[in-house]
Amino acid sequence: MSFVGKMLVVVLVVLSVLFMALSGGVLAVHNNWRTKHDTVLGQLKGAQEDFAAAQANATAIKQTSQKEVDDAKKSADTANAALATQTDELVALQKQVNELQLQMQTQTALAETNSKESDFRNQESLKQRAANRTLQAALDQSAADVRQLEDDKFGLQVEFDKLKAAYNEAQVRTTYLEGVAKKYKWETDPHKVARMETPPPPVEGLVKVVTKDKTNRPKFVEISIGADDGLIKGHKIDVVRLGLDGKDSQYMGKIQLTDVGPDHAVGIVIEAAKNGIIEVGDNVTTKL
Amino acid sequence: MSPQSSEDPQPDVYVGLLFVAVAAVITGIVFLVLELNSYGWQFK
Repeated sequence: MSFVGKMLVVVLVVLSVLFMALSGGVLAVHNNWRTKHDTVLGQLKGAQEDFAAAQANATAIKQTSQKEVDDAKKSADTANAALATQTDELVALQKQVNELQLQMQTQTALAETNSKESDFRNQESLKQRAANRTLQAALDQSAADVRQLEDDKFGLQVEFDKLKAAYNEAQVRTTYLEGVAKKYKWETDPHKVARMETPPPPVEGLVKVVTKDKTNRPKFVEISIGADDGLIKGHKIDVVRLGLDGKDSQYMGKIQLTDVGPDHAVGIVIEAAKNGIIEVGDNVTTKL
Repeated sequence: MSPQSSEDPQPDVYVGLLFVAVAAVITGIVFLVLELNSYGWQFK
């Protein structure tokens, strides 16, 4: 083999080894751009899908937000209208508040007046309570007195019942005695009896009429004086005949009045003189 | 090849080197095939 052939062999060997080293280096060290491309492509696709989803979500959110904005605008309009109404009502309420404050001031003044009046009434109540305590003590005393009086009343009632029984018994006896007195024509009126026992006043009169009985003796005599002169029924009056021409006066009898008028009276003859008969014109007198 | 030698000459060191060169070329081709295989044999 020639020298050139040897040199070519050596060069061939060297180049072959270099070729092997380079291809091995490329295989060992190089980046697989296809794998990275696929990875990035997948990431891009995912990102696009995420973007599309996000875009769709954003669109939905936008629509929802727009709707919410519209609703909010409507609500705002409604709220504005309500606010205007509320403002009007607020003005009206403010007026009412002012009126109520005025009324409150008036009521406060009245309350202060009432408070003063209440204090005055409290003081008066305290005084009244003191007076009530005094009155209560007096009432208690009065109640005790009333009880005592009721006891006394009961005792008096018992005594009254006894007296009433005695009175009834006396009444029965009085009725019986009045019957007996009436039977004997006795006066039972104490006043009349007392007046009958009183002596007649000193008066004088004349015999006006003489009524005689069957035996022609004077029985009833009407005289010219009566109650106006102080006479009453039952009085006894003497009848006299004044002496004329120097003769002495003559006693004619005595009558007892049975009927008395204002200016006359009628009496029954209870005692007659034996030597004379009572006649019209004789005098009657109580001065004997 | 020279016609004087009727018998094959004895392989020397250069023959060995040629074998080494063949082996290196085959190994390099294998590496490149593997590289192209990773790209799917697509060149665009």
